[in-house]
Formats: sequence, structure tokens, C-alpha cells
Amino acid sequence: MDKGNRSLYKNIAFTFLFWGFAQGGNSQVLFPDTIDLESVTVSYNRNISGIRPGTKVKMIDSLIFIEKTNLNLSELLSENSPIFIKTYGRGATATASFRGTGASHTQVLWNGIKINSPMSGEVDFSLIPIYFVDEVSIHFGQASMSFGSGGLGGLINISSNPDWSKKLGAKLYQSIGNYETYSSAASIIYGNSTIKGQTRVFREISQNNFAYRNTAKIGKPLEIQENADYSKFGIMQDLYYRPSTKSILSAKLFVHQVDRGIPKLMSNFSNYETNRQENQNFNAIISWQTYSEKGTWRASSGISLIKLFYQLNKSSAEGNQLPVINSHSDAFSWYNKFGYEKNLISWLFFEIQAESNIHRVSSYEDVLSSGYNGEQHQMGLRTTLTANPFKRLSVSILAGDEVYNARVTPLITSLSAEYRFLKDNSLIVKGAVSRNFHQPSLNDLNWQPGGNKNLKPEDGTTWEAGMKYSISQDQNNIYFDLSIFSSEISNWILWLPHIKGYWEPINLNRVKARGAEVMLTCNLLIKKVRIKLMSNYNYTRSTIENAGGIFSSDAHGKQLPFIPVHSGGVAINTLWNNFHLVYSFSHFSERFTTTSNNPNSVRRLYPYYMSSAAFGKDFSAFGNTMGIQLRIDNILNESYQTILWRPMPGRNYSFLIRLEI
Amino acid sequence: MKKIFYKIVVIPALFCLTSCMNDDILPVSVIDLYGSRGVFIVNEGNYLYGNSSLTYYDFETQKVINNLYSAANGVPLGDIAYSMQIYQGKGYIVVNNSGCIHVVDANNLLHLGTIEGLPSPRNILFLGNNIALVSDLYARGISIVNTNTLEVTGKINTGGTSLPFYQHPTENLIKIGGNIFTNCWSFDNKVLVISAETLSVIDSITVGIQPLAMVKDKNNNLWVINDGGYSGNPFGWEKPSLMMINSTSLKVEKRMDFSSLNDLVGPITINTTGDSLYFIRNHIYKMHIDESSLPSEPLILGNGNNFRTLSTDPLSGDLFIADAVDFLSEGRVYRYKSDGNPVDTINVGIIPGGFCFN
Repeated sequence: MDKGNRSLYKNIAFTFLFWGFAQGGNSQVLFPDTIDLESVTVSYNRNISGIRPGTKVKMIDSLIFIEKTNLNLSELLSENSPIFIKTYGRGATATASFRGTGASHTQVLWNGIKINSPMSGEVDFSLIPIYFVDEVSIHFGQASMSFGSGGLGGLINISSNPDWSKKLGAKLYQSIGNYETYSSAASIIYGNSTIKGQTRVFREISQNNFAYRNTAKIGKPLEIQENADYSKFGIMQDLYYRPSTKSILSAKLFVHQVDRGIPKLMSNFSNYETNRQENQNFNAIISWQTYSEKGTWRASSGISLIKLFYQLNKSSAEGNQLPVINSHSDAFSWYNKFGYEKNLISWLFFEIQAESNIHRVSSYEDVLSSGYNGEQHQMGLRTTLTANPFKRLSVSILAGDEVYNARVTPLITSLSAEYRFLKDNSLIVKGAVSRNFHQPSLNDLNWQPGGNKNLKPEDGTTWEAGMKYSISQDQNNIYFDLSIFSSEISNWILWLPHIKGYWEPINLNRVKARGAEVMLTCNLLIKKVRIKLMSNYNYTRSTIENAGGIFSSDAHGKQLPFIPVHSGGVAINTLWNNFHLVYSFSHFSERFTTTSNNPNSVRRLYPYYMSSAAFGKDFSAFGNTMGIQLRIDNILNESYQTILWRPMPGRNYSFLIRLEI
Repeated sequence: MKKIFYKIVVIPALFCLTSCMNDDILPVSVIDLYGSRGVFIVNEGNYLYGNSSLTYYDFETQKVINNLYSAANGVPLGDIAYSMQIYQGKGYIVVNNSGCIHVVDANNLLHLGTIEGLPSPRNILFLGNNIALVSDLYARGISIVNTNTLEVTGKINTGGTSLPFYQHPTENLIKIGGNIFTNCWSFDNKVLVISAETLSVIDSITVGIQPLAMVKDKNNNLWVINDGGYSGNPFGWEKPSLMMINSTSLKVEKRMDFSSLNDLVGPITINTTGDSLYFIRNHIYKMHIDESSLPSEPLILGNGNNFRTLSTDPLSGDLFIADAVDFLSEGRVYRYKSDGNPVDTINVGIIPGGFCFN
């Protein structure tokens, strides 16, 4: 690397780092390396906090946010990423998992703070409206380790960013859809180049009373889904203070409340039940970042409060309410993070992060008068060295250690590298190995009854390898990414029924998850039509290799329940003269519901094929920009379930109108 | 570039449009059990999975038919099928978390009707005159059902909202003379006495914590096995125990505590002559009713199996033991002679939990 080039790279790195600050509180600036070839080329020669060469990071394209504005994050990820979303129905709980791991192995950050529940370790993605999301990046497998341990499957990073180019602006959204679904949102941005604020509010209600053919009852009657209604409300407030071009202070707040009914299984014949769940979430973070020749400093402190209420009343033949479960849980987390990074020499980048977090949970059930109080103190220290010793080679090494309630966990480590085969950086090979841990959640340890204080952390050893190839010609480009991975996870935590009637978590000896991921992205300009194709295919084998006598011998080598072997999707976006037309298709192969994968089992979840489309236009109205869009979900009007005996709606429509002032 | 685009975009997109899911795929076949002697095995399935099933095992041919109900009717059995009884040629399959009892022809399993609106049904007892009682986990009462109309006609109150938890939940129903006895398992320690004439609770007997199951012996005494609760149980935790109740005096005449708090005890059954008990305590034990202490040696070793329940064929005396295996895959049933000699192993549905001999 000659001196001139190094200077250029340094300038580029500085520019992008600052651009990262300008994007707000999130310290991790990700470039759409699956989208823009130029960004890809640049990214190979700079170092960005949170992204290590040789690991895989995918950014969700901004076009998709426009098309899916009135949906929630689970619906976006389901159609536009390799992540497997397990949803209990429209508007119901939806969890995310990838690379053959479980939902608690997916770490989720909102503007830098973790929003996984300390109770379950999971995140319900149906609670996050797209209105409140500006950027989503997916960090596969060990790419998550830059942000801490636990992401055995990976990490999803959600952030909100300001538009510094606007002094004052507003966006108003109104959507109306089938099943008495109404969604309203507003976003206002204000301020100048030093102080910027953005306020967003959101409200959605739905009766969710769709008709479906009940194939679980004799005669297969046409029924209306009951007790699936929901109402959602949220506020997000972002404030940014940029005293100079080298530093930024941000404060962000995200509050939302969701009240929803939980419908009965299709095979249920009981009288009306009161089965409802209410979530109240409060997240706030303050971040400070500053850049100088001596390095980049970052500090942030955030809190997360999750309140969960669940009520199940059954009804007697006379109609009397019979309380069965009345539970309420409070989970409080306080996150504190400090980071420093610096180019030690022109080809060697150093980064260190320290964090100290506290989690407190109080969970109580009134009918049985039982519950638990749990507390966890967590501290962590991570450091990363990234080197470009040769022009075409980048290598990164990460090591970290964490302490949970004064118990020191073994080191987490990751070594990754990539080599740029061709001069124009169009062909890259990459590889990485790592060891990562995932701690039991507070429910795993303390739940009454069944909590198991003797649980060991899940211990994952992973290697991955892959290649990226890109072709560019005029304004057209094609990007191809192939990855293979293999993880061995010891002490996998699984809840199993106990002979006394309750459930308890146990450690499985060993689970092996391996597979391949293929991504293909095309950007084409055909006459005046801009076409963007995003497709992915994933092969995942996640099997129980040694259950230590817990599972039957039939389970050995069999696919874990609910994880599809094959999954994939295609999304085609076309833009022409302010019109847009989007078509999305997603697929999962059949999923087993038993560890034996017995083909004669009572019921498997058959292969899933789903199509949706949206058509819209932007135009000027009264001097402002206005957009309209018609969206069609389940185009082929499939009658289907994604969880056993939980019906999903047929073809349904929503109409969205957007006004930008 | 554009040719490549057409190949990699347009063709796959057209293929995508042809996809189709099949929501209605339960295979249907004719079930014919006329003249057959065997046992129905009720497989609970997993809670909220709706994957209960019914298995039939023919004693003579040793042939097994799984998914009997769905094969006959093309619909699933429901969520947590719990027990089954045959009465006047009809099978009554109690499906706990579906809140119903499916009534079928016991010979061809064709659906005849469904008793609906039961909060959390567990077991059914037929009293004659078109009257049946259905015990219930959460109803604080026993439902009275008309077996002719398949409607709930009344309720025997067993508890009220002033009692803690959801007391009194009811489980097994055993009629001895003019009384019906029912054990209150979940967060309770009572056996209730109900008058078969007035259909009301007339007395209660205090037993150990969480009476899981009970049987009647040849002397009309009731044998109750109590699981003792668990660590952290708000109702308490004690050593599991076995008790004998005199059904006339309504007194507990024998109490035998198991040795450890952590003993995992399961249901109880009795042999054809009504003088020997079989019960689960990690392993399978056999005990004569005249014994005054618990047996020290098991009849059948557990060998790490998850024994869920057991029952005896009232004609041959053969012992059938259900093994839930890992609770997330198909279970097994082991058939033994009454002396503990193995006869057969039967592959059944998920979490076998009940037996019904035809």
C-alpha cells in the first residue's frame, strides 16, 4: 500500500466515520455492500466499528422500508431476509432465528442497547413498527460478537437516524386494511445543523376478525377468527446535539404499548375464554461520540423496562369466569457501554469496548401465588484488532470476557479474514472461526416451577467461509454472496415437560447447526425502469448430535423442531416515473414438530409459499409530496398455518397514503 | 446483462406464482375394529400444539394403528387428549385443552357428536339413565352431562372463589355404593365424597399433597397415590405417599411415605383380582393390598424411561406402561405379563397418557 493510497483511505475512513456520527446515536455504520458496488470497494479499505472483515453483514435495503411502511418488523424480515420468523398469527407474537439456532440466540439492538427480554432472552418482532425504523442490519453468526456474546445465530441491529438535510419537515401516514385494521403515524423533524429533533407517533388497531376454513373440525366449517384483536400505540423521540463536526450527543426514547387477544386453537370447543396479553415497553438511551486524531470515543447509557401482563380465564358451562392464569412481570435493564477505537498505525485498527449492565426481573402469578425475583449483574470487556497487512488481505481478531453475577465466563474469541482475489475487488473470499457463549435467561434460572439454577451457558464453536462476487456495467450491477457455516453448540438449553406437570429447562449435550446461504442482488436499468432484485436461498441442518440420554435414540441426527431445512425468497422492486411495483415471494420447506422427524407424525407443518405485492405512486400535491400504495398480502389466497392449528388470513389488502411536508 | 436478468429473475418469478399450500392434508381411511379385542391408547400430545392422537393395539394380532381418530374423521383429535371410556358401544374421548369430549362409534371411530363448552375436562363416569359426570381441572366443579343430547345439564360445585388456587379441581371418578369419590390433584390434598343420589359433595377426606390418582381394590377400599408437590410449590412439598381410604368410614387407614422428596411417582392401577397394586415410582412396583410397607424392589426397572401412566387389562391382567420418551417425539407402550415378563413394545403417539380397553 503506497503512501498516497493510505492517505486517501484515511480520508475516506474519516469521512465515513463522521457520516456515521451524522446518522445518529448508533455507532455502527453499515454500508449496503449487498447493494452498491462502490460502497463495497470502499469498505474493504477502511475499518468501521462493529464490522470485521471476513464476517457477514447484510443491510436491509431502504426501498423495502417504503413498501412495508405500515407493517411490523417481523413481516419485513420474513419476506426480505434469510431469518426464519416463527409467528403465532397475524398481529401475534413473532420471534426470529437464523442459522439453525433458537430465538434466544438472536441478539437484538435498538440504537445500541439490547432489547432482548432478560426474562426469556427473546424479542417479539411484531411489537416493532416499521414507522419507527430507519435502518436494519443483520449480523450473521460471529459478526454479532463485535457487540457482545450470546448471538449464536446472529444479531439484528435496529436504528433510527435523523435527516440532517431538512430543517423542518413532517410525514403523515394513514393506512386502512381488511379486518377493520387502521394504522396512523406521524413523524416530525425539526432543528438545524447543530440541534436536531425527530418525534414519531404511531397507533394501530385491528379487529383481526378474518374468515377461515376450520379444517380441525368435522365438516370443516367457515369460521371467523375470534379474540385476535389488537391495539398498538407508540412514541419515539430522538434528539441530537452536534457541537462540532467531530462529536455528537444523542438522546432517544421509544415507548410502546400493545394490547392483544390470544385466539383459541382451531380444535378448541370450550366456551368463550378471556385470553389476553399486554406489553408495555420503555427504552431510552443517551450516547456521546467524539472523533479526534487520538481516536474515537463512545459512551452510552440506556435503560429498558418491559412490563408484561397475561390473563387466562376459562368459562364454565354457566358462563362464569374461572381464573386460570393472571401473571404480571416487570423486567428492568440498565446498560452502560464505553468504547474507544483508533488506527494504531495506518494498517492496524484497534477497538476496545467495556460494558456494565444490570437486569432485574419480578414475575408473579396471582392464581397460584407464585413467582420469582431475579437479578443479574453483567460486565464485559472486548477488544478487536483489525489489520490490513497486505493490500488484498484483511484480518481481524476479537477477544472478550464477561462476568455474570461474579462468575467469570470463558473467553469469547473470533478470528476472521478476507482476501480480495482481483484487483478491482470484485471477487473476495472470506473465512472465520469463533467461540461464543449464550447465558441462560432469568426465566431459565428462576422460573417457578421448573427454573434450573444449575444450567450451564450454551457454548458455541463456529466456522464459516464464503465468497462474494460482483459485476458492474454502466448503471447495472449484480452481486453474489455464498456462505457456508458450521456450529457446534454444547449445553443447548431446551424446556421439556416434567413428569409432575410443569416444564423445566435442561442442557442438551450437543446440537450441530450447519448450512449454506446464497444471496443474489441485481440492480438494473432497462430504459427508464429501475429494477432491483433481491433473492436468497438458505440450507440449514440443525440436528441433535448427542442428547445425553434426554432424547430418544430416534432423535439423534434429526432436524430440530420448527427449523426449516430449506428457505428462501425473492423480492423484485421496479421503479418507473414515480411509480413503484414490488413483488415478494418467500418459502420455507416443511417443518417437523417432533424430535423424531417421524413422517407419520400427527401433523407436520407443510411447505410454506407466500406471495405479496405492492403498487404505488408518488406525486406532488399542494406543493408537497404525496404517496399512495395498495398492498396485497397472500395473493394466492392460501389457506395455511405457520404454527399448528393457528389459522392465518387469506388474501387481504391495505391502502396507504403518505404526505410529506 | 439483461439476458442474465431475464434468466435469473423472470423465470423464477413465474415459477413462484404457481405455488400452492395444502392446508387439508390429514389422510382418511376406514377403521374396522369389529370383533377385535385390544386397547386404545390416548396420546396427550404437546400443550397448545393440538397434536393429540389415538392409537389402537390389537391383543391377538399385535397390530398397531396410530392416528385412529384423524384417520376415521379427517380432523385432528385436539389439544391434550386425556382419557377415554367406552359406554354402550360408544367411545368418549376427553380432550382436556380443547374443552370437549368427542363421542365416536367404538368400532369404526366415526364421529357421532361432541360435548362442548367444558372448561378443562379430565375424566368421565357413566351413572346410567343418560347421566355422566365429567371431572374438571379448573371448573371448581363436576359437569353433569346428558349422554343422549350430549349437552351439559348441570354442575356439582366442588369449590368456590373463596378457596385459593382453583380448588377443588377433580380428577378420577370412582363410584362405590351410593358414593362417588374424586381426588383433587392440582394444588390440593382432598378426596371429595359425592352423593350419587343428590349429586352434591357430602364430605371430604384429607390426604397427602397432590393426590395424583386412585383405584378401588377388591374390598372397596380406595388407594390414593400423592405426588407430594414440588420444590417451590405454593401449596407445599412433602414426600410422595400411598394411602388407603376405607370407603365406608371415609377414614385414611394406611399411609406409607416414599423415602425421598424427589421420588417421581406416577399413577396407580390394580390387577384383575383387585388384590395387588402397580404404581410408578421412578420404576414400576407391585404391592399386595395387605402389605403395610412399600416394596423395596421394583417389578420392572425404569432404565431412564419416562413412565407416564400404567393400566391393567381387566381380562388378561397384562400390564401396559406408557413411556413419554422425551415428550417431543412419539412415545412407547410396553406390554408385560402380570409377573413382570415383557410381551411387546408398541410405538404410539406423542406422550401416551391414558388407556381404554374394549
